[in-house]
Amino acid sequence: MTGTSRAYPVVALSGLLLLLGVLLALPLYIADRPFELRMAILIFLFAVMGQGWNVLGGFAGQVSIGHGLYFGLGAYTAVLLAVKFGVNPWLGMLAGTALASLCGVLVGIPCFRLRGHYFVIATLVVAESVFQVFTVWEWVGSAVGIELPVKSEGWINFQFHRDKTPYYYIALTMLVVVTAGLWWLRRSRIGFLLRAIRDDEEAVRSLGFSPHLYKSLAMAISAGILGAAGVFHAQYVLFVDPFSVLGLHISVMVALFAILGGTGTLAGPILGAAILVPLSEYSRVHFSGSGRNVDLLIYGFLIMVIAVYRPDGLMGLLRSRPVLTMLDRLGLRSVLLQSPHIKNIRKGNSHAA
Amino acid sequence: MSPLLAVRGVSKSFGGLHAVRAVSFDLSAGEILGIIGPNGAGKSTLFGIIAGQVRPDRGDVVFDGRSIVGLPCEAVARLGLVKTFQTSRPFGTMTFLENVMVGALSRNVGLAEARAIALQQLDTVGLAAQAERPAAWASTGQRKRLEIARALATKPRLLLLDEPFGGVDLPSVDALVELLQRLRDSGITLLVIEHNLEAVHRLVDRVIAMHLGEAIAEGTAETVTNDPRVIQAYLGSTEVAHA
Repeated sequence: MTGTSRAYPVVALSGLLLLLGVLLALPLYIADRPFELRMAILIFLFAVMGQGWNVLGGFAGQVSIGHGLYFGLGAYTAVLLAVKFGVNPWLGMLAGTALASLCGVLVGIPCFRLRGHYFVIATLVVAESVFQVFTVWEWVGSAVGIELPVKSEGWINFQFHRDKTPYYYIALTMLVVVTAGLWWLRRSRIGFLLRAIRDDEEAVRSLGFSPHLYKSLAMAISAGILGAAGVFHAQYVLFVDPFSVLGLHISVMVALFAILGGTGTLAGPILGAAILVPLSEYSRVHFSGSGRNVDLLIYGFLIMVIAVYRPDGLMGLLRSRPVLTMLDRLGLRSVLLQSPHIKNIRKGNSHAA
Repeated sequence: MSPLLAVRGVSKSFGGLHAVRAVSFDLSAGEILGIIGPNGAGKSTLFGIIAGQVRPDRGDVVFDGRSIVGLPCEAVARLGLVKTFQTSRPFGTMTFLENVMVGALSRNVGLAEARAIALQQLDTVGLAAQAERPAAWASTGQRKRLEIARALATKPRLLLLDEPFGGVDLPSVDALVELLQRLRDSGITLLVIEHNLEAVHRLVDRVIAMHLGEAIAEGTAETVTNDPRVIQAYLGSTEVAHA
């Protein structure tokens, strides 16, 4: 179309590249600061998980509070494959992703028949049931969990003991790849139809599409991303147990990060993780052993604030009047807020009647 | 010539209520058939049965020579039988254009082509100027036309319209009658539930009147609306003139 409409993405793209450059260089400053390095890794990890959750919860509008299940399944798959069969962790990551995807689709078969609150409850119940099973199942280590045998560090073994910086880069890569993939997905035919399903499933059916098929696709992508994140987590802490990877708090946090950031947007889950992970980590430091409960208190408070003032999440702030005015001045409004499927239709050329 | 749609003795009960009782009719390609009747006559249930949203207890629905009873509604839509909703249901977070694009995508085209089809259909229903506006802002009359455009974008052969004139203001009635006639001229067969009898008179080739789940009269709009049974169904047993 016109030249000016092409200029906006250039601004946005250079901003992104700048951010990426900063993130790539960041380990130069925090490599010898374990606390900050760990926090950065956790931000990336939770951002990846939030992105994954968002495919189903945001794009397709099917809110799950059982996504910890897929995270846990991914983690367990890789660890069990490594411990029982000596499988390389990278292959374990593929397997964990695939198994989580498959389980997601299977869970979807009964659950997608349910709407609204009932779907939410069903996802919770399924995840809790699996959690309970894993706490008593001997073969998977029951409640004690399983430790990954320590191997010599290096990229092939996906283990780094002295310097944790490689984990940083792996997590960052995962975040970039997932975000880029979802950027594409949102613009695709599938992303478009998921949006329609989120708006009105019955209307989508009446036009000849099977909502179940598209919701299953969203679930497969969503659960697969969580599975991959689970494998990363297992390799990072070299340990799995039901409480740390299948616990309800994982499911709740993932959903919260995406919801607080802004569902259905690409930046939302990243924003959510970037704000909430530090909140959680610092509160843990300041309130020592009991910190875990304090961060949940803060989360609860934030949920109330967001629910009352910004039901569309922090990304919704972009839609407030003063911010809109500012974006208009910068010429960024269409880049950040316009739906991806509408290129600029100049007023007038669509007039025909 | 065999009819495009043949409804054969379909019945549906909800608990003890007979919503539709042994209704049969044929619809030829290129015809406009109206279904009238007071509220609760079973018209919308009948539509639901034809479109695959409601499974009949008995009877058969044959579309283009093929029985479609038991097919899910999305499969029926894929065959070219598309129904609009009585209360229009636009995709609220989408623009007018995007709404219609969803319909176009069912033709297995890419987004760019879907967009072109959608613009064309918005133009057909006179909403081209609204293309970029959020559908949530649409007036009732615009919603009705938007839904028609969305259904048209799927390239249907038979369109089931549930009260297309409901909530449409008087001046727009003419435009809508004219639009539906143009659709018929372009080869689309129409089955229309409508309360607006004036619009029915001007639009349809044939009318079926329903009352308490049964088809009680069939014929031209003139004969059916003058049928004493139909008048009684609408007015009850009293002789009071309508408002």
